[in-house]
Amino acid sequence: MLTLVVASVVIYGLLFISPGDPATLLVGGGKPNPEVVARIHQEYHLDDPFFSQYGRWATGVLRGDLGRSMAYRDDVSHLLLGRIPNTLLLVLFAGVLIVIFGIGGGTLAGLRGGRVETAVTVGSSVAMAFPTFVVAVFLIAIFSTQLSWFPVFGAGQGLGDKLWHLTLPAISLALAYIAWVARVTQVSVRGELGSEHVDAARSRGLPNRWIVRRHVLRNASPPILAVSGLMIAGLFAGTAVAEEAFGIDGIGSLLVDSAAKQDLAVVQILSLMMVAAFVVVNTVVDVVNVALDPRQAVKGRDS
Amino acid sequence: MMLRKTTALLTVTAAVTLVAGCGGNGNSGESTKAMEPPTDASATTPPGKGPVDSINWALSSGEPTTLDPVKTGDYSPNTVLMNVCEPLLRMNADYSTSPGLAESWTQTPTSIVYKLRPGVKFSNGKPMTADDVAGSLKRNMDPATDPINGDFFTSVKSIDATGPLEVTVTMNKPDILFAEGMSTEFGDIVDVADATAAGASYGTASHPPICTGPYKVASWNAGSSITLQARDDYWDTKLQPMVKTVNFKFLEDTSTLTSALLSGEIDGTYEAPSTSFDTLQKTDAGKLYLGPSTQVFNLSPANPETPMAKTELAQALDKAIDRAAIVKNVWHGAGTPNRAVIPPSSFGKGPGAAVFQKAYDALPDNSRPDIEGAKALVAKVGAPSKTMTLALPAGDQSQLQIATFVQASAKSIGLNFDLKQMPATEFSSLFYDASKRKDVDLVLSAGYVEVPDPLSYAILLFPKDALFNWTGFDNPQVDADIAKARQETDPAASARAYVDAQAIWEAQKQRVPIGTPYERLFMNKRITGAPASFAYINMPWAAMIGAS
Repeated sequence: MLTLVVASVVIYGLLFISPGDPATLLVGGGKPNPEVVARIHQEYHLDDPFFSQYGRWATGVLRGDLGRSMAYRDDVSHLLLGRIPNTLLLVLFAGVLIVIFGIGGGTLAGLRGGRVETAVTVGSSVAMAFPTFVVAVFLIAIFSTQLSWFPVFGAGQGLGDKLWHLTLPAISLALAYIAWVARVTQVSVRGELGSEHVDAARSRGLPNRWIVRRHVLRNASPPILAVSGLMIAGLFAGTAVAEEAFGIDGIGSLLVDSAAKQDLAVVQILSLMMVAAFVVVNTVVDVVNVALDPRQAVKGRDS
Repeated sequence: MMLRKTTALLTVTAAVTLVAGCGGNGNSGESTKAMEPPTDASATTPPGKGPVDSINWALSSGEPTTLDPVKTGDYSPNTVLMNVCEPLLRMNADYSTSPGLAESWTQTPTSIVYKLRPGVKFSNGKPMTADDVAGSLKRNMDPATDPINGDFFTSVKSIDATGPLEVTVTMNKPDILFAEGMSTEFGDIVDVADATAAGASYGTASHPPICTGPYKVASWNAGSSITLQARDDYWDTKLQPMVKTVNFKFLEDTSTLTSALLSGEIDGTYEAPSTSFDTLQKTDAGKLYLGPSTQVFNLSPANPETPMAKTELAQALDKAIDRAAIVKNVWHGAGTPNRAVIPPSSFGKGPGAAVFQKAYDALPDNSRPDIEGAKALVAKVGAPSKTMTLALPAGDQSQLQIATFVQASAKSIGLNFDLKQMPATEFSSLFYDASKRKDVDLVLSAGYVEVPDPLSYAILLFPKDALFNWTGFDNPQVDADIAKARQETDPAASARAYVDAQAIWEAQKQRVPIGTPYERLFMNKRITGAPASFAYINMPWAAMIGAS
């Protein structure tokens, strides 16, 4: 909670001191009219001192009023309503891809070793080097423009259509993360494979599948989970790039757009949502970690 | 001066270069080959032949901030609005005008009487009355509506409904710009009762305007799309829309837009990205049309103290710029270098056009640089020792290219500039706040002339008290000539006064002209008919589209 309050003051403050006047952007694209700019200033209290502006905004939020967007001249809650499902679906889609290919690939590489390991290592090194927007450009060029398998932009209507629209964005968003998770998983699994308790289990003649499930994967999971937690929070931020590149109406593209227009109310709410997502995801990861390994809870108390 | 909206992400511009390289039909190897400059730019495209169920049209400047005619004056709002609302006069693709909602009019120096067309209905079924017309025009003078075109109404004394289908505009003094402006969005007629009832939300997604045009707003989802639906009770039997539904998508990312045009997901767009010029010209998915345009790029000294406000230095920079190279490299030959700040494409089709053109042709040809001449001018006053700042909006690749050419030309004559790319809100603040201009020496500005009379643009730039007169330029002769041109209702006489003033500001290089890119219209091969000229910004262009 404290995190959220501090974050909200910092974010509000940063936008407050950034140069530029959002009202000038609104006036019909720039036809001369200082009076209108002045009226917009008045309407949105742009000339009030910082704490007065912040206070007005904060009390509104506490009462459930998320504020009004200057750029869209619409309620922020209304703007969010249609966009949150798109972004959630995109993050979920990317998350599933990360779990399947990241954890799956990393585990496979860790257990099998040899060529599989080399392939995953090389593949993940390459994938990590590609930022989302570069992947997006390549995917669009190959799968949308050349092959016409997937649409170029938009979020689609209905679940099936949405999934079809979000496939390329999810891949471009997930690729670098898949590589990262695969690496961590691979190293972690390798480490556990060579550890004493695994050797001990082997010497007791336990079946290999049992060893892998009970001793290797379970013990390898805390670092993987920790990284995945950070990553899912990062995905929310990463949607900004993927959504811009694929023309998806989500909260990421809304954030970029609003930040560029200094649309304070919107940026503030979206940033807070991302901070909140980060906090929640990390809490969930901690809880799951404790469930997997009760020693973590003890450690937490000691430190 | 209308600022060109810019895309927000720097990553976007990086992506554009990439798609130009790997997009298209395997022609990537040829993308470095210079295109032949197009020899002619036609204002029209082959007429549409048959009905089309629906098209997707891209708004490359993003979502309109408003569709209220009195607040409109930018790329996206106009592109949508002028299919929904109509002004008293109709603008044509060649910038001529013909009767619109006004069937005829009679004009004296201080009054205009408009005879309105009978049988015109708003999209809600109500008939258009003289009260609607008078009320719609008066909204431009009502501070409560936040109007942005007040400049064109400064000479108006009163606007009254003087008959069931007659409206009389009385002027305090003659003003040629008012009558000419009635072919643009601020001459649009709306259902006034509806506007009054809507209050502050009028023109937003929650309350789009109700008008008389060939289309009506069927839905507007803020942030995602606007859908227009053809009306079957539209008054003009010669302009019955063939496309039933027009879906506007907001696609500011130039690489996404290019891909969507190539794949056919988007059927068309105005202001097609110049960075994808080659790709769009080569594709067989559709055709890139080039048309005349009144858009301009200029350089403006930012404040009275900057060295660039010195006449000699401005003249020197003017001589040093290689406009032919800018046209060839930035616009792929699809544009013209400008000899004057306000370009010939804005001269209109009236009796003044010949006067404007003759004066323009008499200005020195500046398409090629004269480095020696420029250096001599710099030597006269001495080059400033400090490195100056050239401001431009961030994220727009073609403006960055122009600025880089200017920077190189300036350097060759001893004027050093740093380029300062500014986020959209910061850049637009420059146009309103003198204190923001203090840290800047030169501003690269992009805009367009809307009313087909160069005088409409000059009044914003050169009079002593004009809002965009940033250098404190004070020339009584210019002020007197501009005032005279405005009060002269004979177009030829008005033009003569204008060109007298132009001779002065162009000689002193109050602003340094660069050039005008052609309008770039892209349409999928399945449709045709939209006007290719920039006049689309004030035309019901969608109603002209049909199957090819």
